Amino acid sequence: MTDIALRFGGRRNPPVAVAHLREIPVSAMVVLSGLVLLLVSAFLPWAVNVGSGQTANAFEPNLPWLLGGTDLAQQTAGSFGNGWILIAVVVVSVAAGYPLFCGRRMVAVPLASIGGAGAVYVYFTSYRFDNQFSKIEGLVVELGSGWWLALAGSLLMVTGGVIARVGAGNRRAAVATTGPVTLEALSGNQDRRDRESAVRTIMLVAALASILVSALIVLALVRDALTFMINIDWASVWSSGWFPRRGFYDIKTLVVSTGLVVGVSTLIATPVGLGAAIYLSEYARPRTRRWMKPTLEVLAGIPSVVFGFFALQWISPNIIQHIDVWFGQDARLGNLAAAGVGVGILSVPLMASISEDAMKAVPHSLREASAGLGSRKVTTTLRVVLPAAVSGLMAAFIVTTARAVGETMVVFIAGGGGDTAVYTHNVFDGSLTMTAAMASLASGTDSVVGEGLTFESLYFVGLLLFVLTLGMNLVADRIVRRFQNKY
Amino acid sequence: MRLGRVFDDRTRRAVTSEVYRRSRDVRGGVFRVLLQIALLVALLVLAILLVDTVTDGWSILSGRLGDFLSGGLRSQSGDPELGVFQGIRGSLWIAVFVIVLAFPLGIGAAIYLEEYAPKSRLTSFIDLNIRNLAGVPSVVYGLLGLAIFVRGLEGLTGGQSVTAAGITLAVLVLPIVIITSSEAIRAVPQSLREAGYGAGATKWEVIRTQILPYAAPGILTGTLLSLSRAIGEAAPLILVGAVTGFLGGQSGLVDISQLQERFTALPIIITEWVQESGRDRGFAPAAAAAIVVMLVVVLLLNSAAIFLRNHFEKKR
Amino acid sequence: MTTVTDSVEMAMSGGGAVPQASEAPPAVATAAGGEAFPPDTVFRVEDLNCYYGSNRAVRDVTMDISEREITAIIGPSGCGKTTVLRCFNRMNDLIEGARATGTLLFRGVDLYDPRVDPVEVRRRVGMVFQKPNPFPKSVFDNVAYGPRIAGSVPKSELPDIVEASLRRAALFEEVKDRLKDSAIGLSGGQQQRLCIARAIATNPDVLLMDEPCSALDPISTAHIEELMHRLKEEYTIVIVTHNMQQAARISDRTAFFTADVDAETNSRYGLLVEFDDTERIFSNPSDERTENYVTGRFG
Repeated sequence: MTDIALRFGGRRNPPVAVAHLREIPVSAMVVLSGLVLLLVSAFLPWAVNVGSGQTANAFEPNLPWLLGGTDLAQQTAGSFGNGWILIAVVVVSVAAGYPLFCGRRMVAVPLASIGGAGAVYVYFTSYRFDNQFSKIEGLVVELGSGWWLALAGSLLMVTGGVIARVGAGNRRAAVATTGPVTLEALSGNQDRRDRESAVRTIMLVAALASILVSALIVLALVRDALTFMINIDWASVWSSGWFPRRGFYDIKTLVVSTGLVVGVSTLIATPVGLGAAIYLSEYARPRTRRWMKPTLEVLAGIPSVVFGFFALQWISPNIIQHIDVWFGQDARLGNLAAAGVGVGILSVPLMASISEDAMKAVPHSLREASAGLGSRKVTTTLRVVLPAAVSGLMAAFIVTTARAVGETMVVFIAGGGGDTAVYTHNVFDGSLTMTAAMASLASGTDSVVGEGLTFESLYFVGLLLFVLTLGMNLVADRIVRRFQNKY
Repeated sequence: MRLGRVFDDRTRRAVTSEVYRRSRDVRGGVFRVLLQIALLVALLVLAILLVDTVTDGWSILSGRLGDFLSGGLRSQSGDPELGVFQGIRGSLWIAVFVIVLAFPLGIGAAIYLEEYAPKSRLTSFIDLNIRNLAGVPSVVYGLLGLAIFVRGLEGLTGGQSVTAAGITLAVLVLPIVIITSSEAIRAVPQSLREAGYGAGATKWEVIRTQILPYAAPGILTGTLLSLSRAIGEAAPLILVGAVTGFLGGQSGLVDISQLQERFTALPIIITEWVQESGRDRGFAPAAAAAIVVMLVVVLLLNSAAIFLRNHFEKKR
Repeated sequence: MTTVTDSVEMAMSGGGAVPQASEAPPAVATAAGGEAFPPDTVFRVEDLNCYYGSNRAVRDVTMDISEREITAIIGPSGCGKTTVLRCFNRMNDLIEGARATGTLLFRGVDLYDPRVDPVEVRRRVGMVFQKPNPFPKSVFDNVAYGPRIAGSVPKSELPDIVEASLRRAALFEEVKDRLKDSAIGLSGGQQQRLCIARAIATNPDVLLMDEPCSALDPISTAHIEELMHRLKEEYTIVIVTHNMQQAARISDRTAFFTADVDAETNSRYGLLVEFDDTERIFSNPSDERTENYVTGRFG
């Protein structure tokens, strides 16, 4: 007994200086180190240039990148040519972080030194000797313009601070396990608890980032959409076509063609997706499933531009331009029907996987009960499994539809719309859906310009799209939650 | 036989035919065939798509693959320097941003939601929020990028730069990373957690030594899928201002200075060439070849993810 | 005893590298009433109530657990045996909404004092669970887990600790050639003994066992029971068991819990019926409910 007890008893006291360092709260270290680096990199160029009495334009006193970039930033951008080394530095620093985190200083310190040396090397070699600045000024300027360097530096410093603080918990010898039980002994190790709260805070911040993203989305959309809605002549929102650069923003053109595309896609995705799901969930043998499911997942992983290409180059000439005569139409290469078929194919895996999940959630006992009453598999599937899974299937349908509404590239490529669109309710015509209109407004030109509210119209359509899909997803979510509770 | 005495032949035949009626179940057979057709259609489309794309792009892929991979955006399809190098470079940077920003944030958020978060209103709000973010159309993320990262933070990102695009796509895949990582963490057995706590580990120690190693394959699967999604995504890039015409500057593959410059990416090049093919037919094979290049990357990532998941699912 | 504890306490708080905050705790916590805590008592439970949310699941438990004895907790399912056991190392803290009121002193220290770190408690009060739950790591890493995360042991001493712990858990001879193999490959009984080795590797004062044999076959169960007899010489053991024969065989003292229904809220709760020497509980219990249970007329 005693042999272990004695070993546990060894208690090493860290140096006093280190002990005091650990008194600083993690949050303060994080905030402070970040702030200091930010401020230094923002103000140093200005401070140097005041000190050196320079008056040239290049040294105009301002807050360089913090408030929107400078000439200097432009001048020195591109001076940093050691990307590979920088990446290596980052990798080494990260690699150094883990052992440090686990308290293995003997591994961490050499790695960190290599990383640090690499950083210094990159820093000096990146300086451009052919410009007019003196070396030290050049360095400072570089520090100011290289926002990413400052950012990386503060990140490193912050992580360093956290790691130092967090790792300390590991380095400190724990209170002897076999010592007498006292309140102090049981209140444990301050460092360990600090590390816990530090980690918890980091994770919470990460989770809050998602809220920030949604807030930013809404903010970004609403601000410019409001400008549009306040200043727009509403007659132009209900006219005969979408000519954003000429001030005609007919929403109904976009909405109707969106509806046409979604309609065609639903006609494809629902039967094919549902059928595949039923087969996989009820009929397929495990061996069949084993290769079929991954194949469907491959289909799901294909980027939508590829379906755009496929819809325009294959579906349209080989299918749509053959069947259009049945309807007395003559379709051009780009048309809404081809886009709809493309979107439909793209939605099949989504429809199939959510539907299959819904049917898998139906308890096996229900199927057995039905089979026990002498039902055939068709009857069991159609009369028992599908009704039991109906809410999940509804959710699958809604989610797939929402996805089709938001699909951009297929429609943009194969929908046959240009920059503008005339109102149509014919699937064999080319037109612009909401998403395609946004893409075409934003593409081709360096920035969205045109008549006064052209730019804002982008956000108006975006807000409409956002609200529409959000509503559908919320409804689907509701349905899914309800059917999850059922079993 | 005893049965023979009780039932006469007629009854026996009726029973036998009832029991073996499978062959006469027309309705069931038709239903089954319909289902198989549905599945077949899906697979057939996949096959046609792949074959059609490869055939279209074959002339380039077999003839001048090396030049194609190192060439740039050109206005004429016959230009011998036409290629996708700038697109690969842009997509590579986007992947770097996704890995650096979305992965740590997403995994951190998942750990918080599964291990730390109390059952509070804030938690369920964050949860709902993430699920809805996953359903927001990608083009809306493009608007976000345009408003915030291109215009709002122009000083930081350099405007319509690969930085703005990278951050936008990182934000786009963040909810996917969170959701898949959460699922992987939820699948860790409770007994493992209890064993860790019982041995005197703190929460973070349990997470670091037990939960993360156990959930790692699942998390990796999710991150690979989201990475391939980010690489194939085009709509947000169009809004953020990816270059579709000529893009100057032939710097190396990894050169930090590009971070604040104009950029393009593989899916954007494909879009551009498909659209240009109406004017200049020669762009169609170029687009197909570019698709093959992109699909190789994307499908490799996807298959790796699917394989990983199936492999570890079977193991447990 | 009080003076010894006192001086150690002072030495520790005085010599520690990190001074405690100004609201330092009183040097020695004492049992209610002010008398010194009896040295051979490990836990003193007084009027312990456990809640899940607003539901009072266990009511008014009072018992003392003595050093180097095996205390068995028996009773029908749903009587709060496990809940009480998990109070002793504050494992209930991990369940959302679970809390406890009343007094629970661990060698004189209030376990539910806000200054007490449950993690530290769990290092001193080890736990073995119902189902063997080794980590999906090597045998060695399983046993070394506790000392490693505690960071109190130099790496070079880990092999000795692992060996000593495995020997104490009567497992070393069986696994000495496959210390690097995954613990998942061991048999159920070996896994449970590995879990015991893992628990004693942090050198705890007490071992809590939550139906440790319920998932094992009779032979493995016999192994574990034998092991417990030996472990008793060094550790205080509290065991929850379904199996009355087991309690009779191995324990020195037995607590019988039963479940009752609250007339007002119509919710089930557990309560301690009788706590006495095992022999008395099984031969001559003072409560009729105990007698009914141990004679098999109920439950």
